[in-house]
Amino acid sequence: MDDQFLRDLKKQPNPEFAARLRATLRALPPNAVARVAPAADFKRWFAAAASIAVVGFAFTLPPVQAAAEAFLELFRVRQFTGVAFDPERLSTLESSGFDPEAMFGSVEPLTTPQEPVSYATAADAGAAAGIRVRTPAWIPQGYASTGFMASSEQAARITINTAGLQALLDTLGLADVELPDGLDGQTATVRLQPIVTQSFVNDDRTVHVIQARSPDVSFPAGIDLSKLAYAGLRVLGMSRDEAYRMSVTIDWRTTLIVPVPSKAAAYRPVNVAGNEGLLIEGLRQNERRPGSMLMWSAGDETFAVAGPVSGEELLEIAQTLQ
Amino acid sequence: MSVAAAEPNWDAVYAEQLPRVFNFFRYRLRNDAHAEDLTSRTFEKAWSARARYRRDLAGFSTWLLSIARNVATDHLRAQRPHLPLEAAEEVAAKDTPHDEVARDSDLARLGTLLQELPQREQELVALKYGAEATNRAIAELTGLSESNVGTILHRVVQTLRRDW
Repeated sequence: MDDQFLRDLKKQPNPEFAARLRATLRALPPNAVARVAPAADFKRWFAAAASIAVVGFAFTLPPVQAAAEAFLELFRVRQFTGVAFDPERLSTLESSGFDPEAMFGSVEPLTTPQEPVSYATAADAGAAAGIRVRTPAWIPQGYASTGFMASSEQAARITINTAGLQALLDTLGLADVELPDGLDGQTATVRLQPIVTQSFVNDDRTVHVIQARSPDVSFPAGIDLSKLAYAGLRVLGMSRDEAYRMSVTIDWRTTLIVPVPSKAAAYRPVNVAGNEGLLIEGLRQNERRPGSMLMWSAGDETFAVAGPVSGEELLEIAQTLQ
Repeated sequence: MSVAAAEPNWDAVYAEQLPRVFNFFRYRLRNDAHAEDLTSRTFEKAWSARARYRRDLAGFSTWLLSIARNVATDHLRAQRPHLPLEAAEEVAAKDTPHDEVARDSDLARLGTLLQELPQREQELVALKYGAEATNRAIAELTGLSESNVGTILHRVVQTLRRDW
């Protein structure tokens, strides 16, 4: 009994089995994961996005493996930009009976939602999500890790109905906004990659460290994104001048707009290990204590750290991810 | 980045990795039928998720074995509510002549000895001798240090030699 003996116990797989499996794999289409039905969560997510802004939505439409296909354009998050908005505008929409889901047209889920799976180690969660999960070397005193959760990939195809968008603009009295030509009936595909969430708990307080590949949105080429962005910014409540300035200066293929409640929170750009991030402080996570959230992108991955701690503490957590 | 440019040669990958994954499960479960089933699941998962494989984060073999580990964990977990894995295997072994033969084999005898060891040690043996993973790759997969992997395996082989 030695190393060689242990190695010699191996044997080659049965050739019939090997051939059968090879044939099965060849018959599988790329990324053939069971997917079909709609996802309640996804719908809620879309509804929320739609309620917030056209821009937010447009940029969640997405990505696509067909990146190579020339007729498609892609959006990937590389940068976050905060935009203040007045939550009362949402109340106005709700009270007028506006249906945010109908605003964009039809949403066809492309994946079957699955419950997030918990993992004890970063390596296991990362293997499930297809990323190398980074963990913080520092967390605020009193917090202890409770493990990792990995969600499954989610995707949906949206067929845009400009009548719904126009109804939104009319409801808000935005007569100056013109929707881009050729938008009606176009489809966009949004793909959210698996997300790994690490949680650190201190009594009833929880800090989350969230990591995922950048969500993608693929959409037909030729759409005037700055025009669409202008519409979204106006929906958020930005003035005409501000919205115009921002719509023509931002790269809308890489910038994700984060609507920030104007009265409740403050936001500012910060540096996270050489990458520009967005720090939001004063968010009301619950009635008792304010929370903060930090988002940034590095390479093709996006990160967020959030919890009922100070912005400086979130920055410290983010800077020590390894 | 072109996806096509980043893709490995799948035929070569298949030919090279199939025996390693298959033997990982064989050493882990000591049952050829289960090993084939779980090998299929592993390759199907890897094939479906291949767009997410990133060369800059892990060697392909390590990535594939990380999927295999998860598949094995799910399988073992699913067995637990009914019978301990060892007991289940013993029951199965009594059911068919094929498995009776297998039980008489050296691998079956090794399996009997491995059952006395913790799951972590059993997995390390399967990774090292079944999947032919290096200590460094095992360290990456398990989160143990490379030296710790070497120490544990050395101790396991000594134990097996003593009890063989």
